[in-house]
Amino acid sequence: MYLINDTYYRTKFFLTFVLIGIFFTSVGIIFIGQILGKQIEGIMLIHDFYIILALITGSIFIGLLYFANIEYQKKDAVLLAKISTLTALISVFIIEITGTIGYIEYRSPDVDSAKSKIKQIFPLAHSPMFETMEYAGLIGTMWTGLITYITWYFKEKIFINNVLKNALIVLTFLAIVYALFISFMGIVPTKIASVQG
Amino acid sequence: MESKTTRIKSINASVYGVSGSIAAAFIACSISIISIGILTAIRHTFPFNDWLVSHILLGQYGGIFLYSHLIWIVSWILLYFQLKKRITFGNIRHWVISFIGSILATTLIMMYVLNWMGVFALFIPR
Repeated sequence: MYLINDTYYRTKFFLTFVLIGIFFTSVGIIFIGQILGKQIEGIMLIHDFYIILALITGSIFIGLLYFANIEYQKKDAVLLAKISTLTALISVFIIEITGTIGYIEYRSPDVDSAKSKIKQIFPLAHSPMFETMEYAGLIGTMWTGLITYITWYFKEKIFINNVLKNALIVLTFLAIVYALFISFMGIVPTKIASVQG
Repeated sequence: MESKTTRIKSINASVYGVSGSIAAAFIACSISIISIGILTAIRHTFPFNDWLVSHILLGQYGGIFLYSHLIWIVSWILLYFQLKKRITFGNIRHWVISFIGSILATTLIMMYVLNWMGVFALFIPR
């Protein structure tokens, strides 16, 4: 089973196409937010978009480690592994920055702020749930940074060496599970009162 | 075929025991992850409740964000230059286990500090 294309240039073309698509989607969300006067909602949509993107790239990376045919498609597999880990790392940075901007709105002392409403309706959604999401979410940068560094350092060896391959699969799988757990901590407060400008 | 098998075996042997630079990355990540747990635990105690406020709008969260990332980058740079000449420094399995251990430790610290025990207590039948 071949997960990736049989020509290096076609893989490069598809990767460029996808990355340009990601860029224009991000710019489009911000632009629509500006036009509608909903800047903070636009930023939170970017936040959600990159969470999904990080989870997808993590899943692609695991699939690549399992199914890539390194004997015939070494260049494609290594390129795709490098770009998917780097995309995940950049995504996590954007998630943390947009999350921090949202956190400023969230913890506003106004009676209409999301924090005030959540504390009135369901206090557990603020502490421990929302606070766990904020603090535990910081681990993501280091975790993704480590996976990216290992991938860029060992290159094709991540496909050849089984110990290394399994280590990366375990690290990525646990990162996805942890990210889903943290996302759930954020979904509950958002269902009660979302951050709005 | 035989030469390929020999090549793969040699790569296996060399990768199992990882170099100092890879060990540095694992140690720096583990240190910064543990620091997030510790900073979260002490964020409301004096004098850290003041020191951790890097920006008034972010409260202690801003300081935890800033200092944990600084600890990560600085410790990685220092450890990289200390360990980069080591051809082997531990093996990948041990580093992965210690890394997961640091995440587990931080998660448990956070669960205790952020009062998850109070939530779990709600589900205990009386």
